[in-house]
Formats: sequence, C-alpha cells, structure tokens
Amino acid sequence: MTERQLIDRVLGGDRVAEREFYDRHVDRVYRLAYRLADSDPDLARDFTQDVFIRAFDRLSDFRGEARISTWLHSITVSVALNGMRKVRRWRMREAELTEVTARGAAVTQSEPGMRSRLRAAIRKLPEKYRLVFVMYDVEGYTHEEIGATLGMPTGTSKARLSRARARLRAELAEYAGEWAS
Amino acid sequence: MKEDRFGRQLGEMVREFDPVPEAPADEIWSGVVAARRHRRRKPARWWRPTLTWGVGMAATLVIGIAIGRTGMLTLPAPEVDTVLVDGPAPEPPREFRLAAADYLVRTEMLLAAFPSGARQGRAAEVAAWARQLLLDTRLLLDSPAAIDRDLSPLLSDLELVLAQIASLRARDPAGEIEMIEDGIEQNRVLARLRLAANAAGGVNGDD
Repeated sequence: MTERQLIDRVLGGDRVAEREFYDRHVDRVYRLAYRLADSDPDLARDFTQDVFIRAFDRLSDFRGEARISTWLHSITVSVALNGMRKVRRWRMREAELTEVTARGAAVTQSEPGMRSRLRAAIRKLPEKYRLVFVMYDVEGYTHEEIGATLGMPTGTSKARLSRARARLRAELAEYAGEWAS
Repeated sequence: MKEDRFGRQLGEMVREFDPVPEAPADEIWSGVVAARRHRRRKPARWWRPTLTWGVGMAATLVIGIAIGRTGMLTLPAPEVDTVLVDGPAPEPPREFRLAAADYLVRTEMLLAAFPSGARQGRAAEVAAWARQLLLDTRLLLDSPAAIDRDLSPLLSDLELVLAQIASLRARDPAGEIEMIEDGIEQNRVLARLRLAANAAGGVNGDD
C-alpha cells in the first residue's frame, strides 16, 4: 500500500490503517525526539506521543507537497523544541541551584572525559546549529531533508552544519589527536 | 573532505556513547489512543461560552428527570455530551454495575493517594498501579457498563488521567504531578468519581 493510500484510509477512519501509519513512522520519530530531548527516554516517549496525536489531528491538512516523513519530522522538531524549553524553564524554576550544581558535578566526574565533553559541547551549541548537526551527522538526514523539515534552503543547512562542526572542533580541541584531522 | 570526516566521526561517537533505546511503541500508542478518544468524547469548546449557562440548566433538568431515581446527581453535568439525553437513562446489567463499583472505589483510592505517593519517591509504584486501572478502564469503556450516561464521560476522563499517571517518570515527577492535578481539578474528576462511587456503593444492597 502506498503512503497516499494509507493516509486516505486513516482519514476515512480506518483504525487498522492508523496503527499501520504509526508503526511505519514511530521509530524514526522516536529517534529524533530522543536526540532532541538530551537523550531522555521519558521525554522522548512523551514527545513522540504528542507528535502522533497532533499528526492524526492535522492529517487532513497534509497536502502531499512534501514526504509524509518530512511532515512528521517537522512536527517532531517543533514538539521537542517547545517541550525542551518548557522542561528547562520548569527545571530552572523548581530545582534548587545547589542540588543541580552538585548533581551536574557528580555526572561530569563519573563519566569518561571524552564522552562528557562531547555531550557538553553539543548542548552548548546554539539550537539552530545543534539541530542540523544532530540531524545530519548523528541521524543521517540529507541536507534536502533537513531543509524541508526545518523550512530553510539546503544551503543554509550546509552553512549551519559547517558552523556547528567548527564550534565542536574548537570545544574539543584537546581531543584532536583522537580522530583524523 | 576533512570536515565531513570529522562530522562523521563525531556522529559515530554520539551514537556509540548514547545509543537510542528501542521505542516503547505499544506504550506510546496506548497514550495516543487514550488522548484521541478523550478528545473525541469532548465536544469542541468554541461554542461553550455562549451556551454553557443555558445548556447547564437544561442539562441539570433533563438529567435530573432521567436519572434522578439513581440518586447520583448532585452536581450539574460537567460535559455538554450529556445534553443529548432524551429519554430514560439506560442502565447496564447488574454484573457490570458491580464491576464498575469496585473499579470506582479502587480508582478513587489511587487518585487520592497518588500526589503524595509520587512526591515521596514512589512514582514508579504509583504508575504501575495506574497501568492496572487503565486496563480496567478500557475494559469498562468497551463493556455494557459504558451505556451509563454518567459513567461513560467519567470513564473517558479517568482514562486520560490514568494514562498520564501511568506515564509518570520516577525521576523529577513534580511538574507532571502538578499538571495531572490541574487536569483533575479542572474537570472535577475526583468529585465526580466520589459521587459515582458513593452511588455505585448501593448496587449490592439495592438489587
């Protein structure tokens, strides 16, 4: 069954088709949500759930101009970024500063150097660079897919990736010997 | 190209350090289904502001006549779905009313206990309890018990609340607890649940 036929069946109220549509896309949506949720599986689960609730609600608006996966991934980015902003705001407001500092320090000390530095360097990237880096270098999206998902020209995607890598290279300069340069 | 190779290596490291766990597809799907079912049962809110008062009074009268004999009605109907009542309220068979009565008591206990339990570090335990009740809710929603016009919207609201509690994270659940409590309060879920549980408590002796 083609994607279009499946969507038409979902729009016709076919419950089996809804589940099939979900099964076709859930893994990739979850992967992206997980990466954008700072590797928090609970947040990734919540974001993925929200993505599909919205997708089913708005499926009738999908005109087929882009691929359905692109459409779903743009909802994923929007849900995850908004969700993470709320999570960060809430954590800032609620958490006691001393406790956060102590916990952060403990994590850093217990993780191997390269791993914690890499995580920190990625988190430090501005959102627009981090998104492109995660989608391209980590999750293997093409610049065309990223451009369509984020609504920008492929040239912008390439430029942001280049800047993201440059910042990461600078942040991780002390480990330069660990990879071919 | 040097830059591409660097990017590929970083990407490989991220994937190696932080492998993505398998998506909990069935669990997520349950949440999607519960949320969508809840929305379908709730009418759109856009017309409520203009009609709420009239509809509320009409609902109180109609439902009062229709199900007053059960003694369950002391609060006006919170959802306008119930306005569609135009005859005597159908009653589910006795065995389903008994099952519903038992379920309502157990659910009331959970809703009363979950905020303190979850805040005291027992979120995982509370979530497991909610998952059990969520299964019961869905069974009741698909059973003849759901023909009860009071019980059905309540079950639908409970399904959503229980799905949220079932998804509580063991770590940092405070924000989620607050949101769930807000939802319960806004829909007067606990008050309606207590009323229904009290009314259902008479099933044993009455029949």
